[in-house]
Amino acid sequence: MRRQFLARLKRKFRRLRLEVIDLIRDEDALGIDVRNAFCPTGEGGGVDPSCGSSTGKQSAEKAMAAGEHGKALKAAYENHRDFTYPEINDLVDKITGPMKRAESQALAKEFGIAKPLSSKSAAVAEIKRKIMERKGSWERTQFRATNAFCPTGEGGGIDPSCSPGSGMAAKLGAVIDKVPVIGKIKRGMTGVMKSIHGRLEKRYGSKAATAIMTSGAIGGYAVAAGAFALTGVPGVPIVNDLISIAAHTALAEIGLQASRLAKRFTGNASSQEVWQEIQDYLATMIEEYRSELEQIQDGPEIRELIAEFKNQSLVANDRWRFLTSPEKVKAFQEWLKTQMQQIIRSEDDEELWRAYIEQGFRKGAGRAFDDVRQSELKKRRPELFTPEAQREGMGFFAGTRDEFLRQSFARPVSVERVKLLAGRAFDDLENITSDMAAKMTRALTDGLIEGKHSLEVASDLAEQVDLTYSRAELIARTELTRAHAQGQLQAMEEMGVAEVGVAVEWATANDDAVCSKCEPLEGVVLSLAEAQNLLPRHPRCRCVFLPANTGEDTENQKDTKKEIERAIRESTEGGDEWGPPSVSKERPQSIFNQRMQLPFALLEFSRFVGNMSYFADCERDPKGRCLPSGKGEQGYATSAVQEASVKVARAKIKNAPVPSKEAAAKAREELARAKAEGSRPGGESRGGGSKDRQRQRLNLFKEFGGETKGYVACPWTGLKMHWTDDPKENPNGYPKFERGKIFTKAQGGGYQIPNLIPESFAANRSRNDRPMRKENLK
Amino acid sequence: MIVTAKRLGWDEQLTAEQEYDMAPYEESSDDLEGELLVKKIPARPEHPAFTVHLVGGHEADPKTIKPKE
Repeated sequence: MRRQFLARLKRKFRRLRLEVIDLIRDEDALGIDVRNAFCPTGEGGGVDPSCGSSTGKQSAEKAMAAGEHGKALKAAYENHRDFTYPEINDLVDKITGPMKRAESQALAKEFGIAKPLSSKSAAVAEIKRKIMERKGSWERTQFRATNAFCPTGEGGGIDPSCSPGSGMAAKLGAVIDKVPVIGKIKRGMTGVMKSIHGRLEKRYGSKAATAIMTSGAIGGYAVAAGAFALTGVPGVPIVNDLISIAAHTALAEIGLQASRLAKRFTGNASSQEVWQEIQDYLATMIEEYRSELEQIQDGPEIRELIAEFKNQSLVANDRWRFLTSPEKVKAFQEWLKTQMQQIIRSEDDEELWRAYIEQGFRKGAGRAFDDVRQSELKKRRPELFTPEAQREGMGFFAGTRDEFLRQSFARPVSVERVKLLAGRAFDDLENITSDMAAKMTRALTDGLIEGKHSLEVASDLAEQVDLTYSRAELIARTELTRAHAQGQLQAMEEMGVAEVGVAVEWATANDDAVCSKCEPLEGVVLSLAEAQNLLPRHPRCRCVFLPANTGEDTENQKDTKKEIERAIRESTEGGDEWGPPSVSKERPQSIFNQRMQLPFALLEFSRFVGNMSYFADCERDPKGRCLPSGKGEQGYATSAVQEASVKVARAKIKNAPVPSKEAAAKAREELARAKAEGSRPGGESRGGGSKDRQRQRLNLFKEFGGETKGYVACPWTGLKMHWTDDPKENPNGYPKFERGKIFTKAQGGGYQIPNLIPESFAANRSRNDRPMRKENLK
Repeated sequence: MIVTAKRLGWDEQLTAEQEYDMAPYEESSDDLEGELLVKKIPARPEHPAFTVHLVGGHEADPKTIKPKE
């Protein structure tokens, strides 16, 4: 019922949006700013508390006049949008100018800067940085929306309408804000988001909470930025508050999908509940105010505003100024066609692909990444945050993060998806001409880049390619599913994650409409090789692959050969032949397959993909990339050292002297007696007295090459270990190893050097009494 | 994330069938603190698969791992 309602609501908004925009787009009122459209700075968990404020300067001046310097700085911080960068600089200089060192340090502390600052200049620089960084963060999110179609960046010239805005949307927003219902919804939305953030914060901490909220907001941004594309005038950023509401609705829907991802990381259902709550709230509010909303499009405020637009002369980028919208559309389409043809034909144009796609994808992911990781990175790599490094583009945002995203998220995934889609031939479909096929490619590719819902893409297709809506929907759903799935698999293969056991989990849309073919497949975990070409399962398939073995909750997964084959049988009961050529018995096992909280999961993931160890303790080249070196993960030896240890251990296992039958019988008797008494077998079973044990450990240490390396590697875990806790001998504080028996006690094995292997405690415990040799077993 | 934990084996009630060498804890403290690192160790012919929880570089009992207050 709710789904039907939301679908109806969505259609209504789409119509409303089209009608409003239709009124505006005939004018050359292009290049309208999106300020205040979605308030997407993400502060406060996705909703900017400072949206719409314009009193920053007055507040700051008032506080300064009253001598409340901390308050003045906070006013500038909160209302950064009212200040330019030079104004922030001047304001801080003005405040701190007459101060002495101690005063400026106290002010920095009052302003919330916790780190110790040794001088006045450091304190001033830190205050400026904090305010400017926030402004920068806000601008980046604005940039995302305003230049959603500017793949090469502001003024880069690719998209004809990549020009700075005139602030008219702010006016539009101000007028619309006067309509009471909009204000109510916005305020309510802010409250809901804040309260959810608060609860998540309590449970997971501030950074993880923001990251979870932001993961949902990524989709919202894409919809907000892409919404206006429905006008058929790509590149014209007309986003108003009506669309903002639609974006919020879409945010809630997409948030549900995003929450599935978040759930994988957090290992519980809370994020799903969170987004359900948002959706419920919106459904209730919008239902309540629907009649009022319906009146907005005919409201005098909107009409007056449009009249005002007509009289405005807008600042536009002259280079790309066009007389009428159709010219603009034509120019853009021509450009895109040329670009696409070039790109599709050239296999080497990775850079072009990246430029075309990156804009839409990377910033949302980047923001979550920033929030979670920035502070950690500062601790680990302070050199990236020095003023010199920032100037040289080595800074966190300019250099390393972008590099991280390019390498790990944006490039492979999105490039492969879009490439697949753009390269897909539609000419062989019935009644599709080559011209229609080209338009279809364009509409589908655009939709994919903008993160549109498949129904929105279907709407574009129906409109642009002259298809019936139902056929457009079929094509959009099927092709987007194919592009997403195959692109994802290719990207993961490229990243080499299969080698560490990362797999994919089949996820259906998990609602009442899931068909009998797909339903049994929910939760099936497949290796990347097995998953090839399985999606879409059928036309209109809505299933997706989720990365699996990455620390998710595995409770509902089907990950054994038996379970998977049963699921495939159930899915193909209708009679079609479908499924991977074979499902191997050995299922992928991953090092990530642990229940971890979000930061851990991100850290683990980033360790792997961030070239390949973004936060690893390694030597780096000038761009911050890990240089190849023999250094292993913290606490662990390199695999080469571990393998050397395995080699020695295997030789020992092979050559260990077999205990006599008598010794075995005696040991078993001793065990049985001790079991009956509920005590340990004493004395000898611990390998003698303290001195004897130390001597044994030292000998094992030497035997496994500890003297030259300063540690020995556990053959099974690779953990670096030492023979003693004594800091004089073991200055690095490596854990002390266990003396693992090759022949167990029950086999008659004792604590003699040829029967011992240095092992980590977990390795020793996990083997329990499993024998390494088969002799002397009962 | 910095966590606290008890060293693996800190409260072992060993029986004869679970024979372990208690020696490592004769000199070490049971309380660990540091960054948590979880690693799943794949099986080898000589050894089954298992999971290691490292806290500050030492093996920790997963049941006792808590975020540092």
